[in-house]
Amino acid sequence: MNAIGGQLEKYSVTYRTIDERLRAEKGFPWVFALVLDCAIGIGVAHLLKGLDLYEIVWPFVDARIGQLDEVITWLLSNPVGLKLNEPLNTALASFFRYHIYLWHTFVRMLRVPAIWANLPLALYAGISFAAALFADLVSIFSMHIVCFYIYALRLFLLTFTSLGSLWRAFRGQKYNPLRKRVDTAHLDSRQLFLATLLFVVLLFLAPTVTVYCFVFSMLRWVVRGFQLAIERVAELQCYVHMILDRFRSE
Amino acid sequence: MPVVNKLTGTPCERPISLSSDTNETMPAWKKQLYKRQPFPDNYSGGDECFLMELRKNVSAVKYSFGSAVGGACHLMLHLNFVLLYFLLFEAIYAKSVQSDVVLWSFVAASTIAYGLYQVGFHRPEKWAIQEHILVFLTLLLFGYALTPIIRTLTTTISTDTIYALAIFFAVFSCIFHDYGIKAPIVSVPVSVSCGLCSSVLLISRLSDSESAFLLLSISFSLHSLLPTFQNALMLKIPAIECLICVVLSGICCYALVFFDPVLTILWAILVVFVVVLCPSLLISLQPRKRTIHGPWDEAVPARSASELLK
Repeated sequence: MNAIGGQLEKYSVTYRTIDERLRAEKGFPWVFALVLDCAIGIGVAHLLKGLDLYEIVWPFVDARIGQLDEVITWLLSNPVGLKLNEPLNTALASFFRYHIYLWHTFVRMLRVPAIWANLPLALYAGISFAAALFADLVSIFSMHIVCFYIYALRLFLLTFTSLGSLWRAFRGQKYNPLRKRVDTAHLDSRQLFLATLLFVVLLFLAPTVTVYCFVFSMLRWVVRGFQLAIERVAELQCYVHMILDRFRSE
Repeated sequence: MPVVNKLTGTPCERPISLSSDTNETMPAWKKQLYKRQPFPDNYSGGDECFLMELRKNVSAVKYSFGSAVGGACHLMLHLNFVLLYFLLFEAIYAKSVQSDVVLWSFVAASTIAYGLYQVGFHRPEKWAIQEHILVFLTLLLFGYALTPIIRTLTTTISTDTIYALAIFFAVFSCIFHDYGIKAPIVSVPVSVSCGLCSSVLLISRLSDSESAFLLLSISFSLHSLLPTFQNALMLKIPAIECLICVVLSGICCYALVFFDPVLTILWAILVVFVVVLCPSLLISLQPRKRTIHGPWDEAVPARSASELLK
């Protein structure tokens, strides 16, 4: 149970918010924060009354998925004038496209109108709770971007560590992990043949991999930045505590 | 052993002076640094004995014209092979030669060379048949598997860049090549890798995989396997090597005519320069060698006990 709690705490903003609220010392600031929370929440709920969440969210999600598909198409056709390696480009693009298709299918399971009709009720529990829920939803809906980032980053790291090792082999050296230094390596003709060939191949494939890594890193960081901004709203309680403490100490 | 003045035959420990009553005022100087003697610290026997231990040209090697030309032919042979590889690539690229012809002549040449190596220059403990088969299989499998990838690598790079890079890498590989002589600049991995790199850049321009794989194998044999054979040949029968060099230079010059006659003349000039002019320059400048050795040289520690006993 503790392990699950640990994982949830790491990934779920809602869990963290509720946990913090329950664990904080229950005194005047806590009550004040709670009341302020609910007040703002009810105000926002009144503002957003009549808004159909289902009609807003789902077209937005579809548009974003369409945009991601366009990004992949853009990568396939000389992005920024860079000429990427054709077969590798095609292979990676097909892989990511298929992943997007799987993701789209998965996300359609959440397309239940009942959930989306009842979500605004969370606002009544406080705006921090609603913001936390929103942050978690963003997290769930952008899981594929995180996946792409991880794939591209792994491929990038693999390419560049291999390139470093093969470059050392090209010059007849190897890394000695025991002494943590670079030593001469006695390579026979087979090893030299393979090392040189793989070095040249990876060297020419490196720009393509770099471009993919860069593009998906940017995407992931943009989404993460947006999510962090919402998490700040969810931490409203902390800010209230801080302000009240400052008033008390003055 | 006392140092003897070669002019007069007397031992150098005693300074020879004009006055006859030296025995009372100046005791004999002995070459013993642990003894306190009334001479200054940098006294070394005086003018008469100082340069008697001078030796000239102790370690100078006197080359004969034949051996100099042999060495030059060795270098020229390798350069000829590299040029021949470039010519072969050009011929296959322009489709003026069938790759079948090249394939079978390459197979024949390598079989003959391998047979000669095993029979003539064979040192039984060095290479085993299994190792050779492993090398062959590795070349076959990995080469053939990676050739389609290699062919798509440089589609986005301009042809001029590819050719310039290929030539640069080939020259680089010739610089670091193992020519059978121990020198600090020799680095077999760098030479083989640069050679393979240059050939990979070239074969990425070809249009079909079979000729690409063929050129890759030729390049691998040229840079990895041929030096062993050539160095063994040079050790055994240098005359044959000189003959092959001359014949191959002729073939290269003839083949270059189809590309540009100017290149033929340039290559002929280079061959004459390397094989004829440079050795004669060495031989003509050799009598001017004048290295002096003496007791002032730095002490060189013996590498092993066996050297001490020599």
